Amino acid sequence: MEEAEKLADIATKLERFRYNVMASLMWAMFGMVFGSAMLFAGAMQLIGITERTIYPAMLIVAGVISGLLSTRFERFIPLEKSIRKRWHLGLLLMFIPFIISYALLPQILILGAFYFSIVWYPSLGAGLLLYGIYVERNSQLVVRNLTFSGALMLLTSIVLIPLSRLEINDQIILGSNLLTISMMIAIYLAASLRGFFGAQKVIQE
Amino acid sequence: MIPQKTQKGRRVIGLDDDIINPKRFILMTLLFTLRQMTEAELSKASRIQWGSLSTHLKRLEDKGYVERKKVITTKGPRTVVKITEKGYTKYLEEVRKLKEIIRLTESREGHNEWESN
Repeated sequence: MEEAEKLADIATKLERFRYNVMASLMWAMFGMVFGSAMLFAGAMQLIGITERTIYPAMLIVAGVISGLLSTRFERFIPLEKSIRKRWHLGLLLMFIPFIISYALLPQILILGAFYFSIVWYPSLGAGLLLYGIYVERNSQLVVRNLTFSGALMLLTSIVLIPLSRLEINDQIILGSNLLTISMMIAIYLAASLRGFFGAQKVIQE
Repeated sequence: MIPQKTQKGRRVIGLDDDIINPKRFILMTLLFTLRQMTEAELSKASRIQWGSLSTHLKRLEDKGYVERKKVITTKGPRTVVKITEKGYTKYLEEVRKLKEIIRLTESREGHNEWESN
């Protein structure tokens, strides 16, 4: 009986460890997918393919790939109803800032191309922060990666303010967009490494 | 659910024999950790023969702790065994009970030793 208990103890720790590793790597993967899709669209524009649909099309492609990836990742979320429910419902919270930035604010304010090229970044930050606050509470995660990434994105959004004061032209728009993509990838990478190494705490408990 | 005996022979009520059986416990532990495996992978990892494996899986399946599904893979048709939410919860519950039993046994042994000294 003692042997069974020891085996189960290792199994439960391993299961929790893998869940923590999954939660840390998942966002790096999504960051890579969306980052490369956006860079691809930007590169196409620079080459001369100026189709307006290229950005939405690449976003849809990235969304589909991420959706497929998340079904593979989802397997490692504990099969406890409360935790799974938080992961699923929390996803809705993530879209709230995007709805505000892309659907509500343009109704009230007159916003230009610069705004639409960078607003996804603070929106993603706010979305991740909301998602993180909701999901990472009592979730068996030792590192709060979503909250960390969201807060860092909101904080680094400040660099966009001086850029908005410059004379806006295509170069500034593209440059700002590339800057936000690079910041997103860097933050996802930092969060992933933090989560990956932090996950070890589960085994040491 | 059947009464179980600890190593010291004390009768403890409440452990689920469908899970707390050495072979089924190994199968459930593997599925708890990896969520899903093919029957061949389970047999290899647990070192349980095919015939015996099938019997144990059938019992776990009847209880709703696992589900089996035939899938076509690049290597041919395979049977994938997946732990269910019920099986997952039950496994954690049984592990909690096991820990409690061991804790009680140890504290009683400690108490007896103290009394005999």
